[in-house]
Amino acid sequence: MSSILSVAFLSGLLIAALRMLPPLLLGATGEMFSERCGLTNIGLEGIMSVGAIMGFVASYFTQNPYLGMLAGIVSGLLVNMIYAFLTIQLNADQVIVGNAMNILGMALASLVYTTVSKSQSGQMQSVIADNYFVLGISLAAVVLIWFYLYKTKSGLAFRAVGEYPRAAETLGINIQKKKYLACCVNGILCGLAGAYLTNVYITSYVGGIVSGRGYIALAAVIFGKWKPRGVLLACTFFAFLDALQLRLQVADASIPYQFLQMLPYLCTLLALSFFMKPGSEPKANGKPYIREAR
Amino acid sequence: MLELIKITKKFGDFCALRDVDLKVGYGEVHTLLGENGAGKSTLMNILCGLYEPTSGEIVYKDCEWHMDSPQTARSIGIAMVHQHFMLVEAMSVLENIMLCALGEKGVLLDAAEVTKKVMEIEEMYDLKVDLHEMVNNLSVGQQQKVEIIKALYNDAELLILDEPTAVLTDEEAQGLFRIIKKLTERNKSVIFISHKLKEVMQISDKITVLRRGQTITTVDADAYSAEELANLMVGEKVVSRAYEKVPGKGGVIYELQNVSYHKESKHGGLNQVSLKVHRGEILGVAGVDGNGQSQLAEILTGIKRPEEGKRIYEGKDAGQYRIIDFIRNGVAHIPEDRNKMGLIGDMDIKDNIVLKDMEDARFSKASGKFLLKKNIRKYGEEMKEKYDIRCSSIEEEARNLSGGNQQKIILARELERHPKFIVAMHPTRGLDIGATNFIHDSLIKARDAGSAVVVVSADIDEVMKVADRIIVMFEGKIMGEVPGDNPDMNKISSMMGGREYERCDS
Repeated sequence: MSSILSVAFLSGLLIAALRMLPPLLLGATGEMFSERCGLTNIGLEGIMSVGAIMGFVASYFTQNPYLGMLAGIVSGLLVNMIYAFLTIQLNADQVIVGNAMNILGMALASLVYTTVSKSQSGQMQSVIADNYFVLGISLAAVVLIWFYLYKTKSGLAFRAVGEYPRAAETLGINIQKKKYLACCVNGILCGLAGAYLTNVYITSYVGGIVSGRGYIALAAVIFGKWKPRGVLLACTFFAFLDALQLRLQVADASIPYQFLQMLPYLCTLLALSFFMKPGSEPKANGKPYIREAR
Repeated sequence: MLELIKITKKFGDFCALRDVDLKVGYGEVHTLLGENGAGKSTLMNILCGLYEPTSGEIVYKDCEWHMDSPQTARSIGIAMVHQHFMLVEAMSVLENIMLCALGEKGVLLDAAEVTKKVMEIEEMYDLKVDLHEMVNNLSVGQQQKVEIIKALYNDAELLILDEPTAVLTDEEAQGLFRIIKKLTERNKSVIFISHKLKEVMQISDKITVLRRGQTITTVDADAYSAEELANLMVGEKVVSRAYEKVPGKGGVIYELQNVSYHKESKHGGLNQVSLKVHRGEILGVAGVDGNGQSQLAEILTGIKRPEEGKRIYEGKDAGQYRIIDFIRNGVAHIPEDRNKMGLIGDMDIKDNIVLKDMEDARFSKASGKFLLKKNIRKYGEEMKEKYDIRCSSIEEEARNLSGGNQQKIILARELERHPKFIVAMHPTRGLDIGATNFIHDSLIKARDAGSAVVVVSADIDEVMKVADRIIVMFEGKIMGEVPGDNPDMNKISSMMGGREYERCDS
């Protein structure tokens, strides 16, 4: 066990955690933004999958990881517009649409991969991008969104939509516009999160690469009490746990690795069951807004 | 200043407003008077741009306007204070006001600038509110002030107040009237929606009466008496009835002995409460809202258990009874909040009526396992007739009905079980005269049939009208008791203010 406290182990842990952080933070920040406007999108996993495969394919053909990440962003944005149209325009149930997005996203990803890899010979590889570039972007996203929500007029109106849309409407706020903005930002951030996985985290594509990060990001929003700083702390916490279980697998072979793999998810469950206090969730979160409803 | 011409609004097949006219002058307090469901709120929602009229014209300051959004209404100086406040509870007062300043120049929030302007308004109209307090920590009276500040911040010339006093104490209401005076002194106009005749008489210059979606007439306030107005509103002769007061004769059915619940909370608990209720009497519980009345009702119906003291029902210790035990033993509850506790809004009328009787052989086979839809429908129709529930069909969702009709559904459900003991909490809050009389009649009928009834109400007139005995609550305690026949009004009001008297409990 002494090896756990060594400098090498700790620095390795820190580096690993920083590598884990961006996809969680991007996803959770996007989701937090979306929920502050009243749109619960449980389809993060699906959007990230689409971002991952599109980011990978673009980067493979151009051999430029930054173009790959751009492709991830664009595809995430586009695919989230399906969610936006169904929930904002047609007032569909957000949980059901989100669920459909997950199935759609993952299926789309494997379809694209199978189709493309058939035409290529050998193992497909993308080029690795700078690790800290995306970390910087994700931290900047948190700060920008904080600034938008709390320091700008538009952000105040945005929050009002998530809390009490009817009140927002009496003040002349365009509810649909705000909700589309929420979906755009969420799609962009989740798309980038996916592309990060295939351009920085590893440089190839394997099925199920997102492996539950979308769901952990959802938990991080709740754990972070729908606030930018809280979400940042929650994501850091989860990233460390994930890094820790990976390191422990290497450091101590006597524990079956399956148990260690469970660790982040178990902690998520515990965190949600014991540290949650009701009342911080935006009041209109998850509810469709129907204009002339009585 | 404002003229509405032949406004019609349809929701599907339902015609909420038909050819309604309304004229409002400068500096005038104009009251819209009408029963629940008469279309007052719908009309005002049209005026402030929330609903679009099916047909009709809105003329404001000599121009015709198409109110396509609340923003249009606000920008020309029409602002509405809704019955349910349009405030974001999770934000501070200042943030809520800043939401009205979105149209001003600049991208960033300018708290200092907004604060300065708000201070001026607070000064001018004597509206004091702590700007940095969160809205959900404010009393309703203060929240209302925030709404008025919001309207004035946008330079409103015409203020619409939708049943503003429904949620206020008498004292707060008088404060509101002073504010209204100040507004009209500065040539601003107010449209006031209410069905409390006394205050309508006090505050209005002109009164327009609406009935079933149509304008009946517009009159000068001082030319009519309260009773004449009531008649216009209801459309039939209303006799303000006094009921005969009777002493309870069937012995004690329910007794509380020194019951406490969250004793330390003055406005959400009970402190050493003792009372007896007899068969065949109505016990009125008076007091300013929020002095433990809700908790008393919840203890009596088994929703909460007493933390100290004894609860005795029909001579048996009922300290550990669950809600279902009370229901099975004939306790009926007309709860405080129709929508939250009394009804399942998304279910239709007939299902709401049989909710408590699902295991009854009339409505199901094998005690609740297989519902007999036909019987339920037939019974629903009967109840619709018997309780005069006005609806397009008993298959309509309860949510869509007006307050009075919702309350009648609850009455049908609770009273048809022939309860031995009834707790009615604010049974007529927000209801019009017709529905109120119907509900009072029903309660008196239940009493005469031998039920014991507890009526809890913040409306002292209501308590005096129906109660055979009156107790007054203050900060979780019972301050004293007066007879229902010719009660000493001074004694009641001093008890409501916290003065304690000897009890003459039988």
